[in-house]
Amino acid sequence: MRNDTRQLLLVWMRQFGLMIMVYIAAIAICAWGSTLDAATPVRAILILLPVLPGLALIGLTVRAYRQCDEFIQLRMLQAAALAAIVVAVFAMVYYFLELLGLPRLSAAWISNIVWAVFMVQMVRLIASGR
Amino acid sequence: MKNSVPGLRGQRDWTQADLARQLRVSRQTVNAIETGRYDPSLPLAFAIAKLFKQRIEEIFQP
Repeated sequence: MRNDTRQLLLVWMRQFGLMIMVYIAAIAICAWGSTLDAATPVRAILILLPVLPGLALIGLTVRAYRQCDEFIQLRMLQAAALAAIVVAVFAMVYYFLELLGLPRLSAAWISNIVWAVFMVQMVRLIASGR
Repeated sequence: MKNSVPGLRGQRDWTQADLARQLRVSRQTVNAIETGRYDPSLPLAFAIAKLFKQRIEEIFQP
């Protein structure tokens, strides 16, 4: 992998990791905000706070995608497609498992699974470019 | 698609990294093209042909 492409993806991973931490912090604030009684605009803002780092994750990834060459872009798209397929299968299977009595999962898990599968693929891509 | 990129590169004593630098792509991309795992886009195929001063069909064969 061209040094700057590898460097670019490593920078993206670092920024991604930092944004995940911001996301987790925002979720903690969101959880606290949801315990507030009054339906105030402040409560709504606190609850919607994790959306911002969530969008930033997408923005960081799209920016990295645009800066890569065509083969790496293809590999990133394949990683995204695999993540989508895994989530589709998981969602289908889990729906039936819920009917069997497993606890209902929040839709927020879908995003977590997508990013986890995508990141595993990206780590493999960066490792293969050494 | 088969291609003669490894041979043409070897004739010039270029490494994959050298070729990648001239084509402004990653070494991984050059490796994928050489091993037939990836067929380059038309613009990249033209860039390869121009670099080796050959026609595209002389380098890439279906």
